[in-house]
Amino acid sequence: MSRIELSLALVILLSFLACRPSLSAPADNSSATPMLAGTVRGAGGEPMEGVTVSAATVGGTITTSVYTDDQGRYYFPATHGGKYRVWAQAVGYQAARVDVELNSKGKARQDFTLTATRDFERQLTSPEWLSALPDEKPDDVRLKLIFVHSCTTCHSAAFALQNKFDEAGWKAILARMETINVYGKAGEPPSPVIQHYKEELVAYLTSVRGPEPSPLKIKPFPRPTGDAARVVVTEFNIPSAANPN
Amino acid sequence: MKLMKTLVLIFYGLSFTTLTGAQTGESSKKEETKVASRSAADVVPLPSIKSLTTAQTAGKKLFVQRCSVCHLPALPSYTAYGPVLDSVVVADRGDEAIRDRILHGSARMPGFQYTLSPTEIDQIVEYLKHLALSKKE
Repeated sequence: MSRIELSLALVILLSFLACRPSLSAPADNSSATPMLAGTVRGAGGEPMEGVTVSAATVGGTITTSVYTDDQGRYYFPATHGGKYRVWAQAVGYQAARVDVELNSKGKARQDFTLTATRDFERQLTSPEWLSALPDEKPDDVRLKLIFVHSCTTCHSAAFALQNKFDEAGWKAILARMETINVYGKAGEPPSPVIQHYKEELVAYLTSVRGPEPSPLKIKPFPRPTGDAARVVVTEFNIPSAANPN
Repeated sequence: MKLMKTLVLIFYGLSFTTLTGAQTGESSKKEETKVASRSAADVVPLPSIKSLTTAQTAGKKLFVQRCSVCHLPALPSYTAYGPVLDSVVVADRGDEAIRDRILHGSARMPGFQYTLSPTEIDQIVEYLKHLALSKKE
């Protein structure tokens, strides 16, 4: 094969490969595809940056999320027409939800106003829970580490701390936990670590997540700004019809 | 001529890989369906959210997050710590007894009185009345 023949073959090969994705991708990738955009503001009308805005087709399993910019504006990538469930959420605020109909052409605008809420413990992530645990005194640090080593190697901190229990409640939980091995298998001989720290852990958990006022200093992490707020997240949701155990 | 032959060969070669790719995609899809159906048969299905009222849906979320770890059938070779809860258990013990147990717990179970509101406990009970796990076992 001559040099020219080889070059020609290579050009054809490359052009074929370049065209290949379009064979399987949806043909409708033109400027006519529907767009969704809008703004998110606080109750006082101020623009809110770094708020998560998510959209999912009604009955679908894919959720796309974007974040607002410093002017509170958000834009979704071009998508298919249809009925969408759209919601805006930020830790410390009540989520705002709407249904939006996107027709096959043109743009849709959906603005949100978020209202602050005091009851937002259930929105906290595990790192936010962990940073809320007191650690100013050496003894606080020690107990926090005992909690981390004993509980969060199997559970997320958000799961372990989601409930408030009294002393008897935490005792019942620790009595169960000390007999479960690292594979989640119950009925094992008591774990020496949890057994050793059981009393201290019960007292600690009753203090931070008990009926009395807690020393927790809950402070949500800052929302993403600048380039960090330009990310687009796509989630593929697995239907949860089956037994989660 | 030689060039033409080369081009034809490349074209056939690429068409073949494209088709094979598509077929592999399809067969792996079938494989996924097989795996999914096998897993679904192994576990007890919970009612879909589509068949639930608003209160039952809220109850399902609470139950799955806070109660299911002890009160749903465990996977093979594991044992559920508490009684497996469903409509039969609620009918047998009565709504009030279930509410009281959720609130105050027992020697083996913590009480949720500092965490769940009366409305949330009602939602859990409403959801349990819709569960039919015992009948399927």
